[in-house]
Amino acid sequence: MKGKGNVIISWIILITFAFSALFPVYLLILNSFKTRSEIFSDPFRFPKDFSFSNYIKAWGYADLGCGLLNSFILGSLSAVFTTLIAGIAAYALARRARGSSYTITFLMFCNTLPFFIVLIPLYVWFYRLGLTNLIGVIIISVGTGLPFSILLLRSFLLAIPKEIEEAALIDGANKWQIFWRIILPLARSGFLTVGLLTFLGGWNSFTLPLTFLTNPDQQTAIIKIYNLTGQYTSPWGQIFAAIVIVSLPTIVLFLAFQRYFIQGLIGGAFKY
Amino acid sequence: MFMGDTYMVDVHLRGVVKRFGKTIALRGIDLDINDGEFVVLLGPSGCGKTTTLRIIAGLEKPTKGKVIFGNREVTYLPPRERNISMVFQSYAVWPHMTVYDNIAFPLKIKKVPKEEIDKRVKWAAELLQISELLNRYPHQLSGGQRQRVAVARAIVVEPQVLLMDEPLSNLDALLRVKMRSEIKKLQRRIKVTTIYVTHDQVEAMTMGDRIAVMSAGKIMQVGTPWEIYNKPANVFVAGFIGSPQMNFIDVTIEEAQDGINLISSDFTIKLPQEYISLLKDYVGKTMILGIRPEHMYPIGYVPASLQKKDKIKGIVDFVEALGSDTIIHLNTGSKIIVVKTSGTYRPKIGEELEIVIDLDKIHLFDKNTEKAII
Repeated sequence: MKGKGNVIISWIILITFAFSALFPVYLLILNSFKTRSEIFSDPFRFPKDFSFSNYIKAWGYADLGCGLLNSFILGSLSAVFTTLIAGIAAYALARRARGSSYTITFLMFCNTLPFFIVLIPLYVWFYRLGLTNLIGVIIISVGTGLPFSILLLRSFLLAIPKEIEEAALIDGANKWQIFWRIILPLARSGFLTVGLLTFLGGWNSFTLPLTFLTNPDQQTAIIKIYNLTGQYTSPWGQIFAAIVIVSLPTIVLFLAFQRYFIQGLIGGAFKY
Repeated sequence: MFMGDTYMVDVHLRGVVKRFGKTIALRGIDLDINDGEFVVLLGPSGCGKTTTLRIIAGLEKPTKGKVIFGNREVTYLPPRERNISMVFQSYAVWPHMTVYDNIAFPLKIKKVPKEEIDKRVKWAAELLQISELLNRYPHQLSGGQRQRVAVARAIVVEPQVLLMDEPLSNLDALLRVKMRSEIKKLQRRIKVTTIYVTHDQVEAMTMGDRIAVMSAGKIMQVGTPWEIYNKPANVFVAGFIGSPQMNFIDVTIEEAQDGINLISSDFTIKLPQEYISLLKDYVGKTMILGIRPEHMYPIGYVPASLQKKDKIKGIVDFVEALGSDTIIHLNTGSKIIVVKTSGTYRPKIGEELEIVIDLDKIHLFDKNTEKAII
């Protein structure tokens, strides 16, 4: 009886959360097919006819093609470099390299530091270095993402028994072969989680590209959407349509890697 | 016999010391292992047996001392340059690889041609009777099967030295007995120099050609299972080997007209004249008398062949009926003496019992050095 009651309560909580998360998405998609007057007359009503004109206009006016490409470059390069550097660093920290405990404390400190504190000094530095462009944004994305990624991967690698590595060492593998052929596949979900989180972080980032990317050719999709808004009036239909377009790749990516992502977040919970 | 040529090698440890910070794990290990020999490192937890094995493997570097394979010093060589294999306690099979890939891994690392890899993997799998499991992943295997995979991976490279770190300790009791004999048979077949670490004396006695008994970072005795059991070098070895444990009783040595008297607080045992010369330096001194429970017999269960014997008396304090054996705890006054006898004998608690001691099987240890004198 008690078990059944718990199940019912769980369902109620889950449905409430799912509704509060999905309802805005529903409204977003619904209104992306409406005209401006339809949106303002009743945002909850179905459109008279499902027209893709908002999508076509948004793609053209916001230059979303260029924005999506830049977002992809930012997200994917950040993900690749973060995963690579964090992986190697986390491996060393998990295997108690000299000074590990100090490094971990330092990383935790970095992790708690609000990004806005360093935004202006970073801009000044990067401006002087001529890096107020996509490359600069990628470098900062990687740098700011590293502390969390290293700590996440370290906890993952700690769960791999030392004997697993030593067996490979005895069998003749060198450190790199052990990393690539044993550690990496075993901690695959951890690495994919870090990669995915970094990609999504880069794809969705707003403040950093808004501050650093002044050249329209290098602006990301999120900034392109922001550019659609006007001082006195905004084309909400087009903005909604652009948001749907920009969200689609991330939804596909999440669904494709959902299994690893969940495994990654409960990292170390399964037995080797 | 291995698939190809055999590359057996003898292993020598010379004054190996290992410190971990302030802790001294090994206090000068000297050990010679002959080629093709099966040597067991036996001892309680924390005695340094696994550290010794890891130093032989190259996974740890000694603080002092040398490791020599044949004529080659390998003390500071990495594991891959030692031509060794190791089976770990947790098997350490890689969960993301199939059984085939697990076994083939060391060969792939050594860049052995594909056809040769295939041939050798199938040979090792057949030897370990896991041919039908080659396409499975470790999570689809039982503990015993994983253990076989680990052994197959270890022998597939035809190592000069095979190291095993408590490989049976994660298996259930029945499977352990089975694998014990299988590993021993396999070692005899492939004749590889094997160093096996365990804390289980039965494993050591049944598998080892020789046993090195270790305690507190030192080797206490090296010998065949027979020597270790019948001629223990000191109190530690005598107490560690044998179940139930050997009885230890403090006795004073006194010279009598026709022999030597061993006088304890509860009883006196008389040794024949031939012991006089052996114990003349200990007359008037205290020694430790060691008697194994299985070398004492209740009246009626004394073997006819027993020649030198004496008797002690006591009250039955407790009886453990194990089926095949009966363990009697005999109160002799101030001490409890454990006697192991036939399972058909069931004395009553409180009963007075006369026990015959086989004097040919007793041990006497120096009280100060704890070294065996007899």
